[in-house]
Amino acid sequence: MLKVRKITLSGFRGILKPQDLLLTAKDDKKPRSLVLYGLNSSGKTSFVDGVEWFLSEDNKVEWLTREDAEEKAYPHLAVDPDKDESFVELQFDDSEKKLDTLRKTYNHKKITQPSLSSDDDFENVYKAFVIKPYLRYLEVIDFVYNQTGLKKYQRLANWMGFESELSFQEKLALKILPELKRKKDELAATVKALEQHLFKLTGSQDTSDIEILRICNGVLTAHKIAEQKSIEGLLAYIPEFAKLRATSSVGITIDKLTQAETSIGLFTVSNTLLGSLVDAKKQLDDFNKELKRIEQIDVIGLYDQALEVLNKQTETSTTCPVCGTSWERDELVKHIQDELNLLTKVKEDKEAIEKVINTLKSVVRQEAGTIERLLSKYDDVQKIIPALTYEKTKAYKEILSGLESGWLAKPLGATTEIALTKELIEQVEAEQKEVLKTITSEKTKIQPSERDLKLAEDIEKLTQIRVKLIEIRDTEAESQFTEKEITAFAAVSNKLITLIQENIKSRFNEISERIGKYFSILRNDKDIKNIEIVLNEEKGRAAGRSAEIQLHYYDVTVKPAYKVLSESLLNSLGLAVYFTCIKQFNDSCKFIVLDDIMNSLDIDKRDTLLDLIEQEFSDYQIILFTHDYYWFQKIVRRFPKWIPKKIKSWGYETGAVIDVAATTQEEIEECLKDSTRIEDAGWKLGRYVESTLNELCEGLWAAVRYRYTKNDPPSMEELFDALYARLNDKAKGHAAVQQIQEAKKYEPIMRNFVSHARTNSGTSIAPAEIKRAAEEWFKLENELWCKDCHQFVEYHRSKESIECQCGKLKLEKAKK
Amino acid sequence: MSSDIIKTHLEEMKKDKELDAAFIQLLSDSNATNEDGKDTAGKILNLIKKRYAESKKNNA
Repeated sequence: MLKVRKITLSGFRGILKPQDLLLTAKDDKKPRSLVLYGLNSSGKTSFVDGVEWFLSEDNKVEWLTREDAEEKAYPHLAVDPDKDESFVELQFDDSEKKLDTLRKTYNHKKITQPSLSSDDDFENVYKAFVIKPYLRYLEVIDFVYNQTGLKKYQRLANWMGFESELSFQEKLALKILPELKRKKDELAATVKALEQHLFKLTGSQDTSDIEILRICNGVLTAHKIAEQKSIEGLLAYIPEFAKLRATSSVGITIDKLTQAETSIGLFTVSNTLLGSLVDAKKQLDDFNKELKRIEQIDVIGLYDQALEVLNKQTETSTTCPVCGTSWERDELVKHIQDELNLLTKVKEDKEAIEKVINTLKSVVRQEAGTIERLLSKYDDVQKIIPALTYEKTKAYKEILSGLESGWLAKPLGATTEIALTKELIEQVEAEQKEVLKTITSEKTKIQPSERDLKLAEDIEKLTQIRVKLIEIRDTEAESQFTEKEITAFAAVSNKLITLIQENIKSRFNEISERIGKYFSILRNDKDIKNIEIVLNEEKGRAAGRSAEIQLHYYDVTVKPAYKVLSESLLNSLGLAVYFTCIKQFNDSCKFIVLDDIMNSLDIDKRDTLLDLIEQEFSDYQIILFTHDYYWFQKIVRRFPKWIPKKIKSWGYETGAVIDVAATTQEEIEECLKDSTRIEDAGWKLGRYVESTLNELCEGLWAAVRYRYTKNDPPSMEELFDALYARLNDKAKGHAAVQQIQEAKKYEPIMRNFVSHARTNSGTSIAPAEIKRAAEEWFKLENELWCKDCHQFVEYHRSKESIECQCGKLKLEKAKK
Repeated sequence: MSSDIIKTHLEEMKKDKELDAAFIQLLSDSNATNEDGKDTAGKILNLIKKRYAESKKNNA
């Protein structure tokens, strides 16, 4: 089982000098859980990025990849590649004694291939987990807002570790099968084109054997040659017929001209190519405009800005770095979502454009081949008729070659020009007609006998008919054979997909029950039951590669879940899914890194996350980062065995300065020792008491007047009174009730230091008074805090009692 | 990234005589080397072409 003793970063992301994050207590090598507090932009995320990069077999930090930052963004900006190393090192605690300290070092010369301290050991690390053991706040949001089933499936694939199966399914559905279909269509199109040639030769749309035989026998009869009885006989006879060609020089010349004439007559210039080029150009130009826009968006800046806005709850407005507009917090989330959707749309548009361009490339190539063959025939005629010119056709060929090597070869970001015009196409067609006219008049000039002329023409006609017919048969045979083979391949593909889907469904079933359990710990909504992840198997582009969350809401089956779930419930569901996957699939990896995920939960639900961690992950090493001081202190109190640390400061060169964190009580005492920090002690105490009073009143169901606006929070006096009234009602005579009154005596001092203090008379208060206020307050806390389960007492409606979670501390009315 | 699960599925599928073993092998190789789909399709079409040429030879 794998846990972590130490994480070291150097020259990586926001950390320049080597920086350790110790996950062991002094004189004890056993790794422990840790909570690290740090303000935004103090270096916390650098550690998470470091862990992600370290654990990534692809050596990537995914969220940076999504923001087009990629590997170049990993080293600290001040790193000198010639002198400094950028690395991430993890010291493991491995119960199987296989892994110790491993280091991954960034390679400035090959940025996608860092050097590893031991390839084998890293292999073992990668194998140790299925689900990536780190979760960021944005990933929960990302899952929640991924509206489409396909995107959810992709995210689940990432969490549940079936990305490679998903990738293979997509390879089959989006690359391999379409290529095979394209080949099938190509063969069918070739048969059609050949049948068109045959039609031009025979003058009949009917290309059946009977009709061909009839037409050809007509020709033979005209030359007083016996009819052939079958198409096979005809095909065998035609070469014999061709031997009747005149052997005189005039005859030979007529033959050549006739051959050329027949072949040239079969060519058709494409009249749809220009239209297709114009359409593709428009799509490409529109797309390239968007591409320019995307390049301008500093998406990393966008995310940083978004984080700052979303995390600073007190700020109500901010400025979008892209468009400079001021936004309200909620609206910025939507704006960022729209930008993300644009990026997603760009990706989809890119795929669509590439498909169009690939088809167009095939068409252009085919047309270029046709024109090349036509030019070859013209060259043959020019040997007989030197005055023959065909400049337009040559120009057409040049343009097609230019297209193939120009923007069709590299369409994205290219300047698209279409030198081809309708006028030129018409000129090429006119040129073809002119060449045919020239050939006819040359044949007339040579003055062969009518019989010889007719014979030459008919020999050529029947010869061409024979060639085309054989080609059609061959191509049809190949087409049928290929279709049969493709069907056989499809059977293999379908079987594989069925197996993959069955495997994924069984994984979904395995985890659905646990998701329900974890969800019920995080939320207590009795109306929501039977949460399941189900595979969408309906037809469509993403058939079988799309998943949804289904649940029962008031006994009605709802899919997808977001139809009935609020944002807050969806956040909880996202967390329930992630933690379930960790529990279910990570057997040997027993550490989890959580980066500011508390933000994804409502304030009154964050305790339930701690409940989940305590109940289901007590044997795991949790490495939790937060910027929320209140919750940091709550975690410190709730989990006294965890290592509490805080980032005292951050500097560009110094990086994060990490120190062991003290409890609020310790911090207050520390401040009181320093005469210059008395006011700090007051502020710490005032705010702490205010937030804890709010928490106690909420947990105990103390009646506090409802507020309609945030600008009118309850006063400390009000909170003390509400708490007193409640406990006096439910636990009259208990020591805690009296202690509330003792603590309340110092309310006039403490109220100067609350978050919404209207006066600023804190500086006039003596340290001794603050000290006494703190003493009385912490005495009160002692009465209400259970030392076993590390939680405050709460009101339990079902039992009508005031007690802690474990039941060891109960507040009851004193017996008379 | 190659998938062990797909590798296992394809190995199982080889036992099914009704499925084309050569196609299964091509998919297996594609999975093992994380080959691009277009390249895999190319190999499948080459195999089909080869088979067609052999069948023509046998029928001639």
